[in-house]
Amino acid sequence: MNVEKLRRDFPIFERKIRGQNIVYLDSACMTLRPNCVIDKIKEYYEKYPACAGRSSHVLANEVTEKYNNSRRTLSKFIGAKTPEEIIFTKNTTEGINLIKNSLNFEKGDVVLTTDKEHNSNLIPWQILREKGVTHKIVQSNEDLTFNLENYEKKLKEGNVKLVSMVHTSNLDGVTNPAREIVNIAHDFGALVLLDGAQSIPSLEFNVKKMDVDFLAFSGHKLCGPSGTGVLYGKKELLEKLNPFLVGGDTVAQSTYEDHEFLPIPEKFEAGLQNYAGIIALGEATNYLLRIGKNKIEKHETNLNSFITEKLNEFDSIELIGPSDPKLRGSIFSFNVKGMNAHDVALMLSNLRNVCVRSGQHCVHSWFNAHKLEGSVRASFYLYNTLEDIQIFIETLKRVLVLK
Amino acid sequence: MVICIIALVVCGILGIFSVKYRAIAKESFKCTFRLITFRPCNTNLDQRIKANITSKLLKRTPKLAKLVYRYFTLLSVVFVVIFFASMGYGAYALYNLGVHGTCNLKNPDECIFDPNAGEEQSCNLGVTHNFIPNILSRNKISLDSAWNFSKQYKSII
Repeated sequence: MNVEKLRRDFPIFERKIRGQNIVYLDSACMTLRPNCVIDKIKEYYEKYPACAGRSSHVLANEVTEKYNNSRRTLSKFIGAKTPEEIIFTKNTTEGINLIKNSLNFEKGDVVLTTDKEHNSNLIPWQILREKGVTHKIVQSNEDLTFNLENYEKKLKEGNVKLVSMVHTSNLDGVTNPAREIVNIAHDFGALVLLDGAQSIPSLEFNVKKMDVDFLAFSGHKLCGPSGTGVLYGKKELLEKLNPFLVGGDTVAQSTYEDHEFLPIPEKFEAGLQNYAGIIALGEATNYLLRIGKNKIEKHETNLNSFITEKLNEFDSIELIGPSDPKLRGSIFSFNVKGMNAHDVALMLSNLRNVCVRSGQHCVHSWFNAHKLEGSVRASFYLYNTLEDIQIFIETLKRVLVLK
Repeated sequence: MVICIIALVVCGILGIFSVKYRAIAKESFKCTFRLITFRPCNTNLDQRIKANITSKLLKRTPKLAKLVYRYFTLLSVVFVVIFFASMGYGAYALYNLGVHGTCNLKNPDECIFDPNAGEEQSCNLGVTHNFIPNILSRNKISLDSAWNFSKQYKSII
């Protein structure tokens, strides 16, 4: 993978702030966009800014074709059986909420999550308590890796209707064993929803091979536009679900008294869609397919190994997650003893335009349980170089003088 | 943090002329309000001010930066006290000028606001009104060349 060549696809790297280029290490929050994605958005508004699937004029036909192409690309991207299994959403959060609202939860049902869930995969299940649904948590190992024993124990307690788990944690980069999680859940008759927001951009993932029931992920974390996402669901399961949002484009017929829903995926895509975004999302996934996700994963691991090796020398740096960088994918989450995480992040930005995230990364529950105020999180993607990491380390060394 | 109080006053005044500072003034007002109601500032403004000051110092004198970072709260309290003390003295001086015709009651001739200042009155630095022309003529520098130099210097900085 020629990173220097790839970087030329990202116009942001030409930008100088205070006379210096940016060092972008916040891809776990939002990836940068290549020219091809930006051009696709522009292309929609310039050449075919019409509705898909409604009108039948020349522009509408063009946008319908491109919209459907995008669905086919996404289907291929995750190895779905048919494009109908792809539902376009705003983001991962909407995908999870769709399941929360559409799956027929009853009193006594149990939803199982890990102890490191993003608020998007925690709050929906807390809200379900009102319906008499119980939310149970599987505690991780001490090094924050997944504990399969704890998981099985929770399933044995019974009534688990849904296992809704993060695949790769945005807190520490740990990837949970999806295959085992799915197999065990199915043995107990539970469905599995995976939050793939962090994993799908970097890991090879095939929904058929994994046998996962639902998978939600976002476009903005895989070089796609913000406000785009996907919920995958097995066809037979999606057909049984009731739509969450209803209205325009979800029905085939309606009278003053009744309505008839369209088949999947339309019945879940209410209202006019983000055509420009979805078409550009298809382009983003094509871009990643051309590069090869195995190469992206390998590159991220190399960067994480490098940063871990260099920062291991500093006693004042406290790593969050397992010490082995191979288990942390593209994330290096840490704290500097005696310093506030926001202070560190702000100074990295002020001193050398190093963009990292600080705070609780929407995993407040974990930080509160561990009595931590937050952490600094550096996350990498396909466009980051060793030079980026070196600049980050050198700037961090300057900040460490303050402690 | 108390630094928000200074930010509130300074940005409040600058905010009269600029929208940018108006937004910061609003933010510092929220922060100050929380401070006086014994709650931590939740706008992140204090942290940004601290990080901005510290990182600027870090580029030049890391030791001073470390000192400022460590004692930032104490230093901001000191600055707030100095700030309000000087504001108080300034207001008192203006009051005296309006009521008594001089801002310095003990030494009326030393009032910097005195509108009846004499021809040869000097400011505290000992600079008289003909200080610059004297220097120029002593060094045989024409006013034009001095003007050109000042323009070049301005463009450099």
